[in-house]
Amino acid sequence: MSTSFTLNGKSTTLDADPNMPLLWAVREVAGLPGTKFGCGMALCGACTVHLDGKAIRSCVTPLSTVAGRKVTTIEGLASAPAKAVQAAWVKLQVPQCGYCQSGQIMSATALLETNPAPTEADIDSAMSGNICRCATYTRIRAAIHAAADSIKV
Amino acid sequence: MTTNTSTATRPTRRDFLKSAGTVGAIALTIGFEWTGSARRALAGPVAPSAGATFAPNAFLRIGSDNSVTVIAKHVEMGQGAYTGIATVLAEELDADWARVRVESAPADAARYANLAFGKIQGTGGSSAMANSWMQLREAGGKARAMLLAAAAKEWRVPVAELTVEQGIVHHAAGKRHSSFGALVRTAAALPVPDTVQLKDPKDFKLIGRHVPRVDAAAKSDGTAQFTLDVALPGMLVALLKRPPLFGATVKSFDATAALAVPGVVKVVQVPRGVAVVARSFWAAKQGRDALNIEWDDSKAEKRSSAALMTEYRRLADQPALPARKEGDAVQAIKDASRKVSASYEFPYLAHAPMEPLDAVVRLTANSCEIWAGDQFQTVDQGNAARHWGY
Repeated sequence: MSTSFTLNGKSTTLDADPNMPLLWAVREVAGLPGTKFGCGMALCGACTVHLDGKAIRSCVTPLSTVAGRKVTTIEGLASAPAKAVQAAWVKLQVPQCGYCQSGQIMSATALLETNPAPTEADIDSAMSGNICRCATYTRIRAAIHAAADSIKV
Repeated sequence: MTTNTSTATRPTRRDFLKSAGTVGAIALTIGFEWTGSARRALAGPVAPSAGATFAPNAFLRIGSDNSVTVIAKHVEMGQGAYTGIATVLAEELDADWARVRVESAPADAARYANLAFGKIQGTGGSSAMANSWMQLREAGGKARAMLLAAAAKEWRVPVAELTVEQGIVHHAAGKRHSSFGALVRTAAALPVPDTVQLKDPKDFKLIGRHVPRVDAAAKSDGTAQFTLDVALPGMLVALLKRPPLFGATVKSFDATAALAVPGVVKVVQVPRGVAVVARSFWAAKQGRDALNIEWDDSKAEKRSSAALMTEYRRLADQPALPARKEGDAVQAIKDASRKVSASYEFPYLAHAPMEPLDAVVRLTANSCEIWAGDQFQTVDQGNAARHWGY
């Protein structure tokens, strides 16, 4: 069975079990391994992608639910806030082991795309579902502020 | 890691401690030929440089395209080992930091042993920088000396008149300069010096400064490769069903439902449980969920966290091994006019990274290649070699 949707701006049809989590459809069927598998239970945030611009956990999202919708993964980030987030991540040397960072960046980008000047509380609320084993949280917070500052008009 | 060489033994903590005294005995492995089958690097793909290559030792490769590739014998786990290792070598080389890339060394205890552990390649116990400090400085310094000698030869000027800055060799008097890449061909034909004058620490430009991490970009755009991202043609995925209690074993299992899942290829009992082998992760996961296993808990750990903590408290009250003895501490505490006591408790902490423990193995008739987020490459190498009888 196949599912058609927009993946990173391109019309895509994946021939896979519609119950397969989007995470595995993206990683193994579409061949985009930037999105990570951490827990498989929406508890860690490593698998975060955007569905119609909103940050979701792809490990618990069946492929069938994205039919006809827009999915963006770390490989497809292109918006100004996304580029600002990635630049801030490099500038502030956020990643350590790096495994959670695709998910962190997807959550941070979804936040800035809807709220270009987030408060501390906004950041807490947007990022609370993304855990980091290296505890890079303080740099993540600083990088989100830096990214927000850099896209200020 | 290709496991057709050497044997390694599993180190014990005692061995680590015993061999820690050998840090001073450092032998530089210059002269080894780097036969680099392109290794993946966690810091991103490193394209093999076109044209001539200067590989004066096991830790460095300079391409005619000016690329400086540092070969890291230690594992990057987020602690910054790649950046630290590259910093030390690049310092003595006077490389341009922007051109420095890091590549993972293959498993080879002869060239890449952790000098604090003995004949084992491994990363742990905060030993990476300490054991490789002089090794990397000499590797960089000797390469620099050879590049200088190459420039002196090409320009027919004394080496003493040459300086190096950020990957460029300068001859001020002759108003000449050359990049490392342009000197690669000549340098590669020169002998490796026996000794080299290392820098005075006051002249360090990279060491002790805040050098940008070499892996930040790849870990911010999804291109950094982890074990889970290794995809080989025809690769199968195995997921393990482990017992719910430590030490429990499989009494019996029924694989009928698991084998009925499309994509499941095989179900195998292994020492730690039952493995489901499938053509994709999702098939393996569904197959694992469909397993029907009866566990034998007779030898399993059944104490609760509270019971374990009670046991820890009891043990903490027992006399312990003295680390140091000075005066009569017991009496002094007894006689003290003011006594302060505090107890600190923390639960069992899993040594668990975010990436689930995983490994990729490519097995052929005479080789076994392993990708894994491990800390002791040559121990895995030795275990695999013994298991497969290489």
